[in-house]
This record gives sequence, C-alpha cells and structure tokens, in this order.
Amino acid sequence: MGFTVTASVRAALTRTAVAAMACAFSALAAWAEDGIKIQYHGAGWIQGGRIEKASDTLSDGKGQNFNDNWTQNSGGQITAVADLGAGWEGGLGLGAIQSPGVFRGSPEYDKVPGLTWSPYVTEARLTYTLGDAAHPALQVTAGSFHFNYNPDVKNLGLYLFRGLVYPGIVISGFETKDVLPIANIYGLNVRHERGGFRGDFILNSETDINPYFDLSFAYLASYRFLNAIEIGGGVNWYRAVAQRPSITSPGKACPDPNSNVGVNAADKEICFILDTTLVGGTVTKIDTVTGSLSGVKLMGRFSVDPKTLFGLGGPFGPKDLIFYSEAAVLGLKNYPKYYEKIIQRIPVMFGVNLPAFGYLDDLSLEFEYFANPNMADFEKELEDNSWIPRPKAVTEITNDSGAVVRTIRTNTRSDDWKWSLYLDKVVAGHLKVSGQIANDHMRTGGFYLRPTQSETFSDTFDWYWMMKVAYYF
Amino acid sequence: MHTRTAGFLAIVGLAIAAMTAAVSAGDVTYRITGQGWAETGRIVHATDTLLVNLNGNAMQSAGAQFTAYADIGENWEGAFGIGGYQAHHMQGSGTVSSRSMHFYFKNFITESRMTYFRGDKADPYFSLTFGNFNYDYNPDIKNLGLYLFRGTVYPGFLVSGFMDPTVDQTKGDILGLKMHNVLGKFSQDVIFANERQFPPAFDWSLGYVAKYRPIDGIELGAGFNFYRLLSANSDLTTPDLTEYRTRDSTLTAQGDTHPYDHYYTEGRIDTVRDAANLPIIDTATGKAKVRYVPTTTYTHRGVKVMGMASFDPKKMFGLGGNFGEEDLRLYAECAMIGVQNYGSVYNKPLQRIPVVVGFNIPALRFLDVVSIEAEWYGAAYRNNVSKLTQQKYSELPSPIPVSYNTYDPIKNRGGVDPVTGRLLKDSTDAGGNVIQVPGPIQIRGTALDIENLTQDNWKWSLFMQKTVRQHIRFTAQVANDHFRPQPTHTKYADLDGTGATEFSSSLSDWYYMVRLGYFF
Repeated sequence: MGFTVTASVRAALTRTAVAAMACAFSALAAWAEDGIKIQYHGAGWIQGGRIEKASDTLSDGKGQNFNDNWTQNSGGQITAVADLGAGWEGGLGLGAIQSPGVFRGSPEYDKVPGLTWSPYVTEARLTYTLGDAAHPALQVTAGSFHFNYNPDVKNLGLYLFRGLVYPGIVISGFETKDVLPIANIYGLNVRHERGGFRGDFILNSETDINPYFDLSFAYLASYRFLNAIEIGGGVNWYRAVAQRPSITSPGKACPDPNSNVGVNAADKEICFILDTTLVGGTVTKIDTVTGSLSGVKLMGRFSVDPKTLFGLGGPFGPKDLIFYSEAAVLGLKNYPKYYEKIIQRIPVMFGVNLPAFGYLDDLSLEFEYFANPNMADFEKELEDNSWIPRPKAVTEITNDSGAVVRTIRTNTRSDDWKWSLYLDKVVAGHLKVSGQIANDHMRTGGFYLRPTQSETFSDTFDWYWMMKVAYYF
Repeated sequence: MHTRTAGFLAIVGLAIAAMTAAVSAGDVTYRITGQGWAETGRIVHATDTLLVNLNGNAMQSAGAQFTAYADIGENWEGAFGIGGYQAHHMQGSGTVSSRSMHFYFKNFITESRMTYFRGDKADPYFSLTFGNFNYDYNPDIKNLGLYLFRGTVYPGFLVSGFMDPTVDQTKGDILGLKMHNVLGKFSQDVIFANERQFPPAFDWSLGYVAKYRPIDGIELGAGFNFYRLLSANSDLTTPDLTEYRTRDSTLTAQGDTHPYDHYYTEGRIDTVRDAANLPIIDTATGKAKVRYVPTTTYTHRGVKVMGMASFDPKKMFGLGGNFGEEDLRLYAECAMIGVQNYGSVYNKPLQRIPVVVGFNIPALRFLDVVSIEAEWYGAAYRNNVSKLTQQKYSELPSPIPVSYNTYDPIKNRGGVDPVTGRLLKDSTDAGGNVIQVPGPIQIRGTALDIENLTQDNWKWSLFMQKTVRQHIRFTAQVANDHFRPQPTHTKYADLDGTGATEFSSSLSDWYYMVRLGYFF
C-alpha cells in the first residue's frame, strides 16, 4: 500500500546520489581558486500577541482553554553569504528564539511557563548559478536552504511543502519559517528559467515531522506573462523513498497496537483502518485497510496585478491590489472511513492586497476553505507514526453531582473557514513593523497539557493577534 | 582540591591581568571565520542487533559556526565563537521506539581562548594558550588515533568518528592551558586539560608531547598524559567509599561472577575473627560472621603514554611528479592506555595498547587527501560507556567495563536496564494481554559475549577530502570506527548527545558519511 518504492530502488537511488556527489566533486576539482566577498545578513526582533477567542476548551481534556492567553518571544539570527566567484555562492548562519515553552492554557493551571531557547541553522548551503542570478538559466542549490514558491502568501497556503498528506494537515501561523529567510528544505533545488517560465525540482529529506529522512520529490513550474499575471502548479511525491518502509507504510505488522497519545488511549487504529463491511448483506465483518504516510500532493496557483495589467495610476504601493490564490490536493488516493472524498482533501486559499497607498508595504487579507472532516491535529502521527487521523474527541458534560448530562463530539466542520489580515511596514530601510489578526492553523499546546498539535481555533470566529518589531540588515 | 582549583584560577587571573597591561587601547584588529555544512550518511552494516538494530539507519545534519579572532597588540591573540547543528536520535530497529526520534539542536563554543606568543604568530617559537581551544598533536590522523587526549584510561574507551572535534581544528576540544615551544627541529607541548566529556567531570590532566624532525620527511613524537592527576572529587575519581561496596560484596559472596559484573572493587569474603583468631559467631544465625575485604580498588586515574611517527617519502627522496602535499605520507601512532596492571580487569598490558597505521593514497591533486587507516586494539570489552554515565541513576561512574555475561532484561523490569540504558516496562497488546519485557537474551556465541570480544579488535577508515575555490570543501568517509550513535533505545544512557555504545562489533560493520561544506 502507499506510494513507496522498493529496497532495490532505494539502494539504486543511494548509489546514484553518491555517484552524483562524486561527479560534482570531480567538476569542482577543476576550478581555479580566488578570493571571496562576504555579506552578512542579520535580524533581531521582539513580538507579542494574544489569543482573543478559542471556542474549543474540551477536546484535549482539562487544561485546554487558551482564551486570553498571551504570548511573546524575541530572537535574532545572522547569516553570512559569500560570493565565491564564477557563479558559486555559499550561505551559512545561526539563529535563536527565546519564547515561553508552551502557552498557559486554562487559568486553573495557569503557572508561569519557563522560557526556552530554540536555536536553528538559518541556512547551510552551496549554490551554483549559470546565467543571471535573478533569472538563472540553471541554478543548483544543495544543503539546508529556504524555498518559497509563492511569495504572495503571508499566512495561509504554501500547501505543497508544508504539512502532511495522510493525515491531511495544513500548517500556517504568524511569520512561520516558510515565509522568512530560514531554511525549510534539506536537500537539493534545481531551478531553470527561460523568459517568463520558471521550473524548480526539489529533493527534500524530511526534517520537520517524523519519520525523518524520507525523501520527497517535487517539481514546480510557473509562468509569468504580461508582467502582471503568474500561474503555477506543482506536484510533490511526499515521502516517495521511505527511510524505513515499515514505519512509513506499516502494513498489518503493527509494532504497537496501542496509541501513545494520552487523550486517545482507546484508539486501536494505529497502522491500519478498522473498517466494517457487509458480507452477504447481513454479516458485518471487520476489514483492515492498510495505507501509508506517503502520498502525492498537487498544487495550482495564480497571481494577478491589476495595476500593471490595466495600467492603473494613482498612489498605489507596488503590492497593492494584487490578488492571488492557491489550491492543493492533499493525497490523490482515497481510503475508506477517513479519506473517502477527494474534495475533502482540497484546501483553497485566496488573498488580496488591500490598497495601502504606500502607508504600509503589505495589507493582505487571506481566506481559506478546507473541508477536512478529521481532527486537525497530528499528535498521533508524532507519537505513533500513524497515517490515520486521531478519532474525534468525545467529551462528557457532567452536572454538579457528577452525572453525565450530555456528550459533546468535536465538531470538525466549524473550522472549515480560516482568515488572516496581515500588515507590515519597513521604515528607515532596516526597521520592520508587522502585525496579524487571524484565525489560522496555529497550534499551541498548554502548560498542563503536553502540546497536542491540535489547532487552537475550531470556529470561524475564533481569533488572535500578533505584533512584531524587527531590525534587519 | 579546592586549593588546587583556586590556584589555577589565580594563574589565569594573573595572565589576564598581564595581558590587559600589555595591550593598549585601540590596538585591536578583528577577523571573522565561518563554516557551514550539510552532511548525510548511513549505517550500512551493524552486526550486533540484539539490543538495537541500526542496520540501514540514516544520519543527517546541517550546521554552522562563527569564530572571531582578535589581534591584540603584537603578541596576543584572542578567539571566541559559537556554532550549532541539528542532531537527532537514531531510528533504531524502526519499531515502536522510533517514535522517540526527534531532531534537536546542539550548540557549542568553537573557541574561547587567549594566546600569548613570541615569534611569528603562525609558527611561534613560544606560545601560551588558555581557555577553550583545539589541540591536535597528530594532524596526519583523519579518524582513528589521537589516543593521548581522547577517551578514558580505566576502562580504555577510544573515541573517533566522522569529523570528530579533535580532528576538526576549528573546534575547541581542550579546556585548560597549553604551552608550546619550538627549538629548531624539536617542539614540545605541555597541556593542562580539564575533563569535560566523560564522568567524573572537572578532573585535571597533565600531558606532554614532544616531536622531532631529524630530517625532512620524517617526524617522530612521543608523549604522556597523567589522566585525572588532580581530582575535582577524589571520591568519584577513585570510588572507594564503603557505602558503595554493597553491590560488589554481594557479587563476591555469590561467587562465579565475571570481573566486569563488579562496579568499584574486587575483594574476598573473610570470616570475622576475634583477638584469638577464632571466628565470631552470629548469635542470630549461628553461623560465623563474614565481611567483604576489597583487594583491588579501581580508579579512573591512570597514565597514558604515546608514540607516533610520520614518514613522507616525497620529501625524503625528493620525489617529483604530480603528487599532492599529503600524498604517500605514511604515519602511525600507538599508545598504552594505562601503564599500571591491576585487578583482574586490567592485568594484560597488550589489551591496553591500540595501534593505528595510516597511509595517504596518491590522489595526484585530484583530491587533497585520500587516507586509509587501520587500527588494532585488543581490549576485551565493548566500547560501551553506560557504566560511566550511570551517576544520573544514583550510581558513581564505574571504572569497570560493562558486563554482558548475565544480561537478562527481565531482572530490571520497571527500571533502567544497566546494559542498554532502556527504560524497561511492560506493554499491552490490542487484546489487553500484557507483553512483558524480553526474557534472557542468548549472549554466548554472539558479538556481545565477553569471551568473544575480539571481533571488534580491528577498525578501519577511508577518508577523502577536497577543497576547491579555497572555500568549498567536500568530505567523505567510509569507516568502521568508534562512532557511538544515539539510538532511541539507548537515549537514557546518552552522553553529551552521543550514545553509550559503539555501533560496530565486528570487522564487517561499516557506515559512510558525506559532507558538503563552505567556509571562510
């Protein structure tokens, strides 16, 4: 089951990768040597915000109440980019963020969360460019690097490389690493451009979500014309080459039939779906459906700048009025019970840059629709390596004497719509102020709770805000 | 001990004061160096799969570092820097425990030192360095070797691995003081080093290395290291406390135990006698009273001695051709890890002598270096440091190797297994049936058998490196060395982010790593 390849193919790919490195090595050996020019890029920031409304205070058990929770963090990073001459460029850098370890959660468990440091590598890469660096005929980047195929997106979207396929997890938030100059790909990018066409091949080794080191292959193409319209599409064969096929596509040989997710102890669907089927029209039989974390994502997008298209004058800023959209299919294959309809695996976002007339650089309003019928958390994937969603939480409501008066089953459809309003302004060339009001895919966890990877916002009218002041060079 | 520490700190303070006086304001120039890399590899074969199966485990990392160097006046240089890299646990057998595998970040100090020098800064005839700095007395070594300052003495655990900080001269591996002196063809180094890698921590070691180049193309060297000469806590360096003898006395009373089963001492059970040399009878049992009498107290302290030689036929015979600078160089190093024989664990000197021989295969400038190294080390125990690290479980670091003789996980159910470091707990299956931790594992005849620990005596390494455009470096290694990965199974026995047990237990085990780096 699933989209994995055989051991012999994996071995062949490994040999090919090593051979390719050897060839690259041979080519490098022929170079002449000379000096380099180094540019330093850095940023430092403080940010803070508050969750104003989070409807679901039950699904993850006691402690889950993020209403009025504050958060803040500060950080800094520095990156050295060296022009090595003859089309070669290297980048390396370090960064760190100081933040509360978790959100506080319910007031009854409101203790003072400790501050934690989260260091990271901004990038560690080598890039070779043939032709103009801005529009290269060929550009090859290897290592750990940043890749953003849709810079119009401020918050919602970027589905092709963010999140999972099975389960269909979508990721977003305030200025995540995918929209900042921070590495989000470990592997290889081969880019080629000709006229308005741009193609990108991406080989990515999974480093965000376990199981690690599965290789994904992706290709993206975009075409820009009339200097105002860009259309693009891409395919990502997610976890195409599994590091451990028995983990990525576990089959029926389940190493542990019990879920390790604390709020989910009764869940027995770890490696396979337990579906029921009728035999002879009367007898119900349990059918075990095997599957995989691996799957294929498809993505399409467009962006239109009516200012350029229609020659609009006026005091518009360069990004004003641009409207853009992105949609994706998170997994082409249907599985019974949880992944039955492809339409429920298609997130769609659209955004527009409201006119800011130069007072702001961006004032972006984005909406997203994603009719995912499953719980939108991936704690079960983290704990059990499971490709099956966590069962919907069922919460018992009791009266003062402890008697159950009713049960509540998590409503997974009230969060189908997400929205985000993002703004930023750069002053004095190096000081950036940004903010966001949104209902997106933020995941908090809590002080009492371990981070469940549950989304904080379960209703269209839930929201939070964040502000950030950054200095960069 | 505290007096010794205070004395050392006073020396450092005086040095700083002297430096401060020697430097005039506005006389400082800086330069910054950096290094970034992405590396990947795989454990291709690991024979020992009894405790954890590492076959096919992938490895991957990305990292970066910056170091700032300051020329402070004519004779002083300071350096400090930071770095970090992504690291991760191993997936192990890829079963249920693989869910524990997560990426984490390790940061480090590249250097934090001050150096006073006389003569040319690049090759001073005298220098004094203190702080955190790199010291590599044998730069021919690419992987195996460097025994004098890497690893422990009792037990003689060796350290090596791909781009170990000791061979990466941009990363500090010594905290302490170094005095360097050159007298023509002769050079000498005195190293005063603080123990930071292996418990018990903070002991001070005093080492000396002398090297001589009789003719161009030949270098000879030798040295010694009084390992843990000064203890931070002598009760830890030599665990001779009475309250820690219970386990050893119980084992001795049981009889038929292997020496590796012990923790701190060996001894005998004696009958307690009165002044008339008559056995004292325990009135409660009616039997003669007995007591445990230690005959050997093991210690972490010891003395290493080292010899090394390097031979470059290109220079010696004036060979022409298209040879690279490193080509054809033949080198070797050997050491005695602990000159003292004692107890029944350390009574065979040949088992404490590792020898490495390396040769740089002609790469004819196509590569900077292609180095093949082979090592023999007859230690009759596995390179497993978990008994050193168990002080976190209310034990003192043990100077005795791990025993696999009586390995039986079920004995330690509910606790931490002393051999694997695993937390052993029962689980239940889908039907609610209790799955107990594994019963006794058949050790005899396997690579874990203490009677059969010669299969890992040979190690080997093939290392390649090429620098292009002066700033891009490609490095690769295929090896069977002392690499200790951190499998999920042994994360409870981790040591500074590495695992407790060497992955390799036989000559056929190997892994490969490739790294693409850029530096300035």
